[in-house]
Amino acid sequence: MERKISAAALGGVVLLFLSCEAVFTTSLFEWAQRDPSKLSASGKVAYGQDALASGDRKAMARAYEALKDTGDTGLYPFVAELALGAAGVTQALRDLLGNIAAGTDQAGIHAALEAAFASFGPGDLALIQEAAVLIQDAEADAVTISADQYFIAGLGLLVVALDDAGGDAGAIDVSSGPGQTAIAFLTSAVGLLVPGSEAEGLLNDLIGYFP
Amino acid sequence: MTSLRFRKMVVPLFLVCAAAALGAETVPPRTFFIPSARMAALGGSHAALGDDLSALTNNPAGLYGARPRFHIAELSLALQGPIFSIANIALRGAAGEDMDDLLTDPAVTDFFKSVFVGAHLIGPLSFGYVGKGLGFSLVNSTGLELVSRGSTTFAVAAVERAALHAGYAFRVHLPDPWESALDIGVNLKAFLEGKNHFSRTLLEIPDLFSDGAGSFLDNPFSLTTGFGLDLGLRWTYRDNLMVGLVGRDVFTPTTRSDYATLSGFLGDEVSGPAVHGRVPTDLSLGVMYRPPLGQTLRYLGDLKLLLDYRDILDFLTHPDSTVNPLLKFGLGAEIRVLGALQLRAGLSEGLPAWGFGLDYGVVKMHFAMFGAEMSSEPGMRPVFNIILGLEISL
Repeated sequence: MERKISAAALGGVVLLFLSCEAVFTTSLFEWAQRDPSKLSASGKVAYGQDALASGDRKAMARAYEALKDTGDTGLYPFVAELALGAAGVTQALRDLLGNIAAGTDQAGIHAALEAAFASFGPGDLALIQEAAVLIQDAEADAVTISADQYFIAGLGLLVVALDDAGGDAGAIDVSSGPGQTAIAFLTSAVGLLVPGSEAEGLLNDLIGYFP
Repeated sequence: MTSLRFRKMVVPLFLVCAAAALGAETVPPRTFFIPSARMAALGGSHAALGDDLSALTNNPAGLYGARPRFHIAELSLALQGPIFSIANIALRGAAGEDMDDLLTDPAVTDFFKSVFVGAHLIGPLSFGYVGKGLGFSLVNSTGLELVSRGSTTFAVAAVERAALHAGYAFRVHLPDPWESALDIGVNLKAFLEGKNHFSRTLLEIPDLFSDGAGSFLDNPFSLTTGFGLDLGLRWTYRDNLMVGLVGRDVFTPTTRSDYATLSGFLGDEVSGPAVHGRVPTDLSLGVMYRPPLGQTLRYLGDLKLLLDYRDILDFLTHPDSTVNPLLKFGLGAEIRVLGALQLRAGLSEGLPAWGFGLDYGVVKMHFAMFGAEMSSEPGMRPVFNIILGLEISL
């Protein structure tokens, strides 16, 4: 009996050691997430911050729906970030940055943007445009906008401009419309970075790929 | 006369503390939290549990029934985040995989989707005593954290924490026919956290690596101190059933001093104006059942089943940071197998926990593997954790 219990205990230990991270990060109550639209004003903001940090697009979409009609212009850059995350721009940004950091040239970046474009639907492009309007309204009200927020909004608008250009990154028009606003946002982001930093160099490279 | 003088001293002090607390920022309890492998494997703190030094953080009323023990030292390593995934990426890099392929691999870009990585060393300063209703402990931890803030920003922090607890519990004897007893406990605590921290966007990560140690020395440093009071009740029925009610941080004001740089703090820099805060009160209720196993299971013993509902009044004490009510349930179970091995399992914040303890008398080893929810909703931001610790006690 003693041996059987020892063997069972040891077997349980080994089995649990072998279990992966997924087991311990699977919530039993995920189905019970609250609807952010029913939370208090501060609760909605807290939910939105959690959604952004989680990288969960569905959660960001719910948070955006709950906050998009806020009349507080101070929150607009944050709400825009939620819309851009929900649209999938943040994910596309990570892929693009991986390419830039890996030393990809203009053709590579164009190809990466075109590949990312395939994952955006009309709803996503609408969300990006709504986010751009929120950023512009915040700018008009002299609300502080971070380099990140300018950067992801600029990248999102490049995708919208790519849609206007028929999916050909080489044909993006940066002299008017979403393309022009995209470059303006990216330039604003550069202006907020530490001069001479690697980040500034990477972003200037990106702008340079869309003459 | 003495009483009047006492009142003249105490009343203004109380008013100053109350005024400071009323206009203060809310400080999350996690700021001063030093994890324990045993409690993590049991699914977090349990208000009805009180059999060792952990009564100081669970429920001070548990000190009355805790076995006498002198805790000499502890060294534990707590790791947070996708440890195995990071190890896999590092191994691929070390194996000479092309860096361009690695940087553009979805497994690597996904890693940046929601980063929460930490490593904390608990101890070596870790000693305390519990017995005869008294208890005290002094513990420190040193750690590094990398956490996503927003969609593209990462916060990096080097953290040093120390906590001093001192508690006392006494028993109120209830009428014999009730077959029960009521323990009442109080715990006073003081703690400090030194935090060197900075944020970088995704674009700035390359600069972070090129800065090296300069990133820490030339970035902000915060020193937070606080003292607090916990109060607890524990009702015991026939040694099998315990019900605990604990008010953690009934009154816990804090003060934070911010310095522009760590090197400034180490030098003679004067801090900015002190920021007063308060850790919100956490009222938790817990039940523990110890079923008598009798002779049917000879090699098993001391089974404990635990159920808690935590932070019952969060909607009153910190309404801006309430969490989903289901995250407040905690379940735990512990059983002794063959004398030296303790198997533990639990559920906290909707995520499973598991661990074991090996008791070799003076030396004990504890291990825990568990999930922790870092958001206000279940499953939105779960983080994987491992704690492995070695403890020496008499």
